Amino acid sequence: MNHIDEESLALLAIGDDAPSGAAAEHLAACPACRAELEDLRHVVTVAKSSQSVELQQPSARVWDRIATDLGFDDRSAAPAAAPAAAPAPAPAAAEHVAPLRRSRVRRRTALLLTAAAAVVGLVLGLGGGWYLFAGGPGRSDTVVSRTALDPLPGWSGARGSAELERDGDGRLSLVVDLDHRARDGAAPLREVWMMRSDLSGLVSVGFLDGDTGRFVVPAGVDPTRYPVVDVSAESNDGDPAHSGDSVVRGTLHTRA
Amino acid sequence: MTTNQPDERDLADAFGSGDERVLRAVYERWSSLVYTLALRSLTDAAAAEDVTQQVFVRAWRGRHTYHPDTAPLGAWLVGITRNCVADALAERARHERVAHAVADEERTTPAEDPHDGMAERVLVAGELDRLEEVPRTVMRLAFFEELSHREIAERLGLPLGTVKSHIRRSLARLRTRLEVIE
Repeated sequence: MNHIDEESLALLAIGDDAPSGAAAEHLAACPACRAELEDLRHVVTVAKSSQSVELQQPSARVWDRIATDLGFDDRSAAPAAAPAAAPAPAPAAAEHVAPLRRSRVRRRTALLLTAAAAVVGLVLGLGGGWYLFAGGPGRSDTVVSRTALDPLPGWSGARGSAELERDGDGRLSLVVDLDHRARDGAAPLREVWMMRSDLSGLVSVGFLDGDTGRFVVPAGVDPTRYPVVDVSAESNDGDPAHSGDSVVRGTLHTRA
Repeated sequence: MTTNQPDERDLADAFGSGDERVLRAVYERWSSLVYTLALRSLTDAAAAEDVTQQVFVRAWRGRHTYHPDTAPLGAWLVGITRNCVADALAERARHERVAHAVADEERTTPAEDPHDGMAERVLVAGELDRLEEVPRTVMRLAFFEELSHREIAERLGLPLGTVKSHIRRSLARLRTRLEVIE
């Protein structure tokens, strides 16, 4: 006897579907599925009763008091008072570089994610890998380099590719192709970034509309210094910083 | 979509490291949860601020006792919040007894029990807020307007399968956040 799948259980828990004959029978006979359904129903009950709850922010002085209590030096950077901006080492195009939100903690996350991505990339790289094309001067739209974009944890169905192209005038464009809508249906807002290898600096090149996008690489952004192509899922909250939620990532290996 | 999951787990893992910036990030992530919970129990902003302060100070000093594998960090902080709220209520009751020197048996423990479902409600409210826009909308329609997944799909113009999968994943996610809150 097969267990009831997760999705059907979720719909039962939320009260959408009454158990059909087979499901009802199975539930009657299967303590595991019953327990699972009970757990989910509990979540639904709690969630429904949470409508009136609005989370409130404590005053900024609370953090100051905590920092004082614990003898922290860096009280000025209280999160409620001023979002901490990561002092990225000043790259050439400093004005384009947005700080990773939440400073080093975020960066650490990103590094961990990169490490994970590197493992994935290594595995995939053995099979497919990236290709390097030398861009001849004077030709139009030459592919300078290309990389596969590999999924980060939580986005296992996503994949994509990025190509760096140089047009006849020497301008660089980044062409990004991403495939994760097929599995997922509605896609979140997705932003394309170029990052330094150690993720210490990053430049937004634009938002991805649909599956494919072509972005002008801003003048002053040197792909050899910002070789990592990253596509992030962003919430539509007006915050220009990277959400920390990267969907896919890859590294362009461009000859200087 | 597991927007905050790696991040959150990462914070939890880093919590024991002793890096002050981790506490700041943890505060940023959970202070509204702690404060709201305290405020709902104590109905007094100054007292709730005191509790919020105590919770994070206590959490930081006790960070070596926290094990990411046994509880989500949010749930652990909720546990500390409950203890601090209980202390604050006991203290308040003691003051009231002193103030009403004459024994008034009916008033001995007037305080709201912080162990009711409020912690869960506040935690879930916070997690709902943190879902990405589409799943958040889906779940609000399901929970608060009690629309069926078919109605939600129609209302939002989404494929039925997408709505179902948002419901499944969001429920699973809310559930992991509620773990260990008993």
